[in-house]
Amino acid sequence: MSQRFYLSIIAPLTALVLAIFCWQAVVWLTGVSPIVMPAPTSVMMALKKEAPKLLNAAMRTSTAAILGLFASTILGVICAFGFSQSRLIRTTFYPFAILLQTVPIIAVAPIVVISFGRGFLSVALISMIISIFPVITSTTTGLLQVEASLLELFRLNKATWWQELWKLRLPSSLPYMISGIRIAGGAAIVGAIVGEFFVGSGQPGLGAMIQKKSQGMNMDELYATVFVATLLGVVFFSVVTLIGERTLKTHFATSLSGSPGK
Amino acid sequence: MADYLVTNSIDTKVSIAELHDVSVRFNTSSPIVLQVQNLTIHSGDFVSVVGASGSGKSTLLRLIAGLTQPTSGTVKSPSSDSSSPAATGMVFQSANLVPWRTAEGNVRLPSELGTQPTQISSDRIDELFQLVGLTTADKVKQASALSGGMQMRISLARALVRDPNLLLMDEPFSALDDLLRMQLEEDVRRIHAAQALTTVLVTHNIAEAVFMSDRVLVLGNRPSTIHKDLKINLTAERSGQLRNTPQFHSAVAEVTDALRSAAAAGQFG
Repeated sequence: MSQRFYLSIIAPLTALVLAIFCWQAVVWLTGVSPIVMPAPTSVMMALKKEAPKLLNAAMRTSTAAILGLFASTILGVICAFGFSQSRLIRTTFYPFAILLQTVPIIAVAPIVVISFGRGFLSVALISMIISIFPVITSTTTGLLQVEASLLELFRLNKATWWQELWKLRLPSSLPYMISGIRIAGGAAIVGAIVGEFFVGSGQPGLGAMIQKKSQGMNMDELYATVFVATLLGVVFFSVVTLIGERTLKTHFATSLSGSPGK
Repeated sequence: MADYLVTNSIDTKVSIAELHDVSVRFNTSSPIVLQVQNLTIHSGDFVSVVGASGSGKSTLLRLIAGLTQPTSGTVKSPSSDSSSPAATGMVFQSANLVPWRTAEGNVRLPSELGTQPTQISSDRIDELFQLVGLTTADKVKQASALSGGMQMRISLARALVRDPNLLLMDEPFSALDDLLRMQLEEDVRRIHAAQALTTVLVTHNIAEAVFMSDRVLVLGNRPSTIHKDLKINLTAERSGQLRNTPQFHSAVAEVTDALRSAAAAGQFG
């Protein structure tokens, strides 16, 4: 078990180190211009030099993404409640929920910016739009996939609509909801960065930095920014996953591990 | 003297559930799933329902529970009376516990439901745990961490928490091993006797039906209807030793014959 765990960390890490090594070798051997492709070493230098700015930008992006994820979680769960209530509601509105997923965010972002201004609100909104779909679908599935015999127990005891929702459907859909929010977490960061890309200097996060640096000559700085943006996405996904697993563990106590609870 | 009183009181027994001219179809084009002319379950009875798979055993139980509505006819049961919210307890085929609650939380669940939720005292909870053969230390255990037998005991305590007039059981022990099953059969019979609790049990186990019941309904197949209504003339007190007596074996044989004839009638019918 632990051996496999270490392998799951060491193997991808080795691949990463090898890839960086190859990249460095290619830059050295071919002498390619740093405007076309900067060497990993110079990206590292840029990272160090720009660290305070990058950190500040990452904080702004995270704030917008957290708000976006928060909004998509609340709105998504509310939508899922609606969807779970009747087949008619599902058939009527599900196509529109799919639209949220299929619409190119690149096309929507400028529209949002025009409507809501070049600021924080637009960025959070775009982050929400891109991250709400997985919350809606998985929570809806969870709310509908309640064990039939448990539903009968509730009906036998003449449970009210609210009791059925609060004491049965909601807790039993929690694992689904959490897996939806986990996927939404990664998407929320992407949404925030895309939003900032269009908002520009009005909301100087990572997206705005990428936009600005892609027009300049300092490719190493652009690479450094992309690196931080990617890292932020991973951190976001991991934190949401961790919180989700913690919640599930306390919710179901022993059912995940199978050992007696404390 | 006591025997005299018991036999005499049969006629004056109160009916708990009644079915009249009931038929059930799942939709208008499907065949009749179950047809019952007249059935009365008396207060304090232990009635078992046996029959082949697909003979409508569970449908009969669900009719009484109010979980299935008859296509035609009338069903009178504690569940069909909406003014008494807590009148029926049910034990399902699987223990059917809520995995995110503790043992105690599962037992309390029915009392939290409905338009008149009630607060069950912790003394009452302790009493219930003891009644179904659990210790108070089991109360805090997470439902999903318990063994199959313990889960079934909690399921039983949960069915009893609202002091029901009627206990319904749908093949509750079919997933348990033989020794555990027999132990639970004795426990349920003891609870039934102690509280004079009207109980309807659906089972495919003939020995189980005979051991636990005062009356066995044998369902026939196609059309599914009550083929035989047998009285089990065994002592009211059922201990494990009863299983080894000739009276028990002959009662089992009688029910087995009735099931065979029900199957034969089905083939020609």
